[in-house]
Amino acid sequence: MEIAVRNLYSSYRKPMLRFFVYKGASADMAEDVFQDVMIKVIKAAQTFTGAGTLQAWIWQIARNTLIEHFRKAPPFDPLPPDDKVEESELRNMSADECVTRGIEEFGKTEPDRCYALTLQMDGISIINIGEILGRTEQATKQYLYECRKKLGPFIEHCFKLLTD
Amino acid sequence: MANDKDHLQDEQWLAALAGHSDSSASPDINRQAQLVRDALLKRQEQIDRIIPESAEGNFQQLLRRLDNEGLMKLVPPKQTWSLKNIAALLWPMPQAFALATTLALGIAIGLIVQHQKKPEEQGPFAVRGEQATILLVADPLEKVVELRNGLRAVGSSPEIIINENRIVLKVKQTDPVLDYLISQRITQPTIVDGQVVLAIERARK
Repeated sequence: MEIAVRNLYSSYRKPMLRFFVYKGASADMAEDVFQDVMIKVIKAAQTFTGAGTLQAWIWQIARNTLIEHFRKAPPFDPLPPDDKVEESELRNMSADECVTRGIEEFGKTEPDRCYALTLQMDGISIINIGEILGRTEQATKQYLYECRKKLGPFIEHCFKLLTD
Repeated sequence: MANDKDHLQDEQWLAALAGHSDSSASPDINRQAQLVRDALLKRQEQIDRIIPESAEGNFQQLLRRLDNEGLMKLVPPKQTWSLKNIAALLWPMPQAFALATTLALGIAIGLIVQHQKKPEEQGPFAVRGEQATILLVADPLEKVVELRNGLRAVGSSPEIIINENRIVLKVKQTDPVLDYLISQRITQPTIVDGQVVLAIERARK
């Protein structure tokens, strides 16, 4: 029993903690939410019908549990705020520094979309991204297209800094 | 047509973001996606630094919570396991025992937590659903090949259906099949129309 729980725990801990932190949970809150998710999964296994995938069911519990915690303590920005960047400073930046700043801002404004692009960057399949986000395969694909478009305004100006 | 072209560019950009640049894509798309990839990686590293690596204390806390809620019987770690007590382990929780009763009443779903002999052979987290018993494993393909070979060795011909998100294995329910599955720590699998049905999914690390 303990080994099986450990298996479940170690399989999901890192991806779920990341997900919670991306969504604005502190590290402590993320650990608390994760423990609650594990307990709910084990308690509620009786209600799993086997119709969808087990992964999708577990992630659905994770999303709902996070929402419950956010009702008690709202999300916050997990990374420290940056100093305001002056226009002149922007001109002196390299393209990669500029994109890095753009991604930081995007992560604060659109944490869900930033996380979805991170999963894509990590090489996670569209189906698995959909299971984590609670979307169908087609809807996930469309969502990722939209993420790219939404990211545009945060980084487009950086590409002018690219040199040949 | 413009929409198709946009989506092609989106696909190329997403592929490059995942580290698989399409050589037929415009160099700008690949270069821009690479910059975003680098920035997302940096952000992920920052986030990962917030997450503590060691989780043993938290895991022990979880075990205590499970124990307090009556969801778990703590098992001596070095106990020697026979098939009989492995089978007993499959239904270790009061809720699961109650579930066994509800199964008889037609509400067929239960949690099966399985014991493994060695850490490197840690078995799947398995859930017995109405339509299939679902196994979460690190490598579904490797697992299904192992099961297929074992089932063939006991004279069965499993049917294997590979979907994008799971592999389904169906095999006629016979005593040698059930014995083999018990030896693989898969007891009381879902049976539909006289066939054992297993759905094998990848446990994402």
